[in-house]
Amino acid sequence: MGRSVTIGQYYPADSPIHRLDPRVKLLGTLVFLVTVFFIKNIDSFVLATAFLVLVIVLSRVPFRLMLKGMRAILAILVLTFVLSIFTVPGQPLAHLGALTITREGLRTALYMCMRLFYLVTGASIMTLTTTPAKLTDGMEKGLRFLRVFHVPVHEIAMMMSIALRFIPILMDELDRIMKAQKARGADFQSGGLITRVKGLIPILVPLFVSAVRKAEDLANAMEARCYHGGEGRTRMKPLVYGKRDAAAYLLLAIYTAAVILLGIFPLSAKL
Amino acid sequence: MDIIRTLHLCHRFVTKDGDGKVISSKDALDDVNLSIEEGSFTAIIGRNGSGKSTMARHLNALLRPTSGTVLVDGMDTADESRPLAIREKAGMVFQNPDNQIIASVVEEDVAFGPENIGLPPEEIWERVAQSLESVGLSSCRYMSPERLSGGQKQRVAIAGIMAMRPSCMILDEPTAMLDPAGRKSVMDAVKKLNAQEKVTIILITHYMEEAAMADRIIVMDQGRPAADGSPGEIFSDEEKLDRLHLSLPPAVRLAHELQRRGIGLPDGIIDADSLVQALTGVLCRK
Repeated sequence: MGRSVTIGQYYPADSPIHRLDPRVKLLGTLVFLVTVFFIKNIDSFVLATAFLVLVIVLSRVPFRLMLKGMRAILAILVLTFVLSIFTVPGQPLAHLGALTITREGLRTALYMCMRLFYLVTGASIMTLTTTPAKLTDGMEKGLRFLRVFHVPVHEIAMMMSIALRFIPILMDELDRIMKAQKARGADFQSGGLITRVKGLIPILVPLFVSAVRKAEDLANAMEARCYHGGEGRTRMKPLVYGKRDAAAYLLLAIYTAAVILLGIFPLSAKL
Repeated sequence: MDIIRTLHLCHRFVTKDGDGKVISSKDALDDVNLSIEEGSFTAIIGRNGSGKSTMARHLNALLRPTSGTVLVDGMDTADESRPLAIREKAGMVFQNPDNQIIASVVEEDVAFGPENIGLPPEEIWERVAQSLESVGLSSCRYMSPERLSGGQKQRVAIAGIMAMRPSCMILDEPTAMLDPAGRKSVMDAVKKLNAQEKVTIILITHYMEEAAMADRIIVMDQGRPAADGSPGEIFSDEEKLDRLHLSLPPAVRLAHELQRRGIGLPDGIIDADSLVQALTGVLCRK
């Protein structure tokens, strides 16, 4: 059971995007997500699409893998589309019983869906090309400045990476406990909602007990291996910016500037 | 030279209720005086609750003595300022292979100790490669620990300790959760480290067969050493072992039975290999 769980759905490949410093990818994703909300005309829409396509092609991740992520938000997409197509007032296009589809409604619906689509695709490129370990490393180093505000950046990153490591182990444990309780006659399938929720108690209590015990063991093992927080700790694979990362930052800056400029001075007529 | 010495070491576990009143207390260790020679291979055996695991946790400053002293390479474990120096000298491998692997990639887990010591990256790379080589896991370097067998995981944990270049390694029942093949691979790795890298080994175990591989066996009972000697010496006193609720390894028991029935086997048979050798000796004489 635990083995089939993939966190962050990393797709192993050797591409320029995979080799980028995780800090570049984190900032790049953040910037891209923000610019998606600035798209107000067809020019910036084309620009964002071109940028996204370029990154997807460079990443060598099959496009269908990204579409897979879409399935999760399909319901949200449809809901957003239906809601905005019928509710935005404006010039009527067609009538569907008591409901009216407007030109503005259609435009808003398309933009909203496109934004959602780009948000999810943008974020999944990051998780598809970066291992969870590298992501936490990138966060630890990229957010180090927050220590000025007494944010325990190292501790949070350490907790994240330990959580990632223990998810499959706890899934296996859950599987074991469920089997053990089933062998003792527990029934998780029948009954109403309340009965089923009550049925979870004999699973969750042993799971928590086991998690706490594991945490204590792990703390001992970490201490035995000289762990004493982030002070004076070095890394086997320290994050170092290379020429590739500088180029990526430059490209990102150009893209951001272009989106802002096109937002202010559109080349074509407003859609 | 002695790498570890304990002087009148006592440890008392005290359980208190919410108001700080003592509910119960138990002397897990009671006046233990031991010295462990550098480069030796010592096994500590004893039944559950005999104090062997508490003993192990004292040897790398995870626990501090209630009274008495533990010296690791001359450093007092009660000295709050240097637990790191002590843990670098005396590494510890625990029972559960899953609960002591920290990273999601084998090589990064082995690097965890050296990273904490604050070594430069080049040095860490070198040590990770060497430690994985020494436990025979170089080929698993980029794998996720999830994909490894129990024996392999335990060897990764050993490599993680070796990467800190300790002079002493304490293993707290490292094979208790493994299948026979895993147990053998772990014990082979431990023996090799002792023989080739000259690491002092202290093995806490309840398998007599494993204790037989050591140079010296210490039997713990009720918080103090009840017997101390070479495997041959320990195994020869069957009555005493019975009193301590320990049973001999099968090969030794067979040898004792044969001796009792008048077959002239020499003393000091500790495992199947030495029994086979002794038996061939007897047969050839006839």
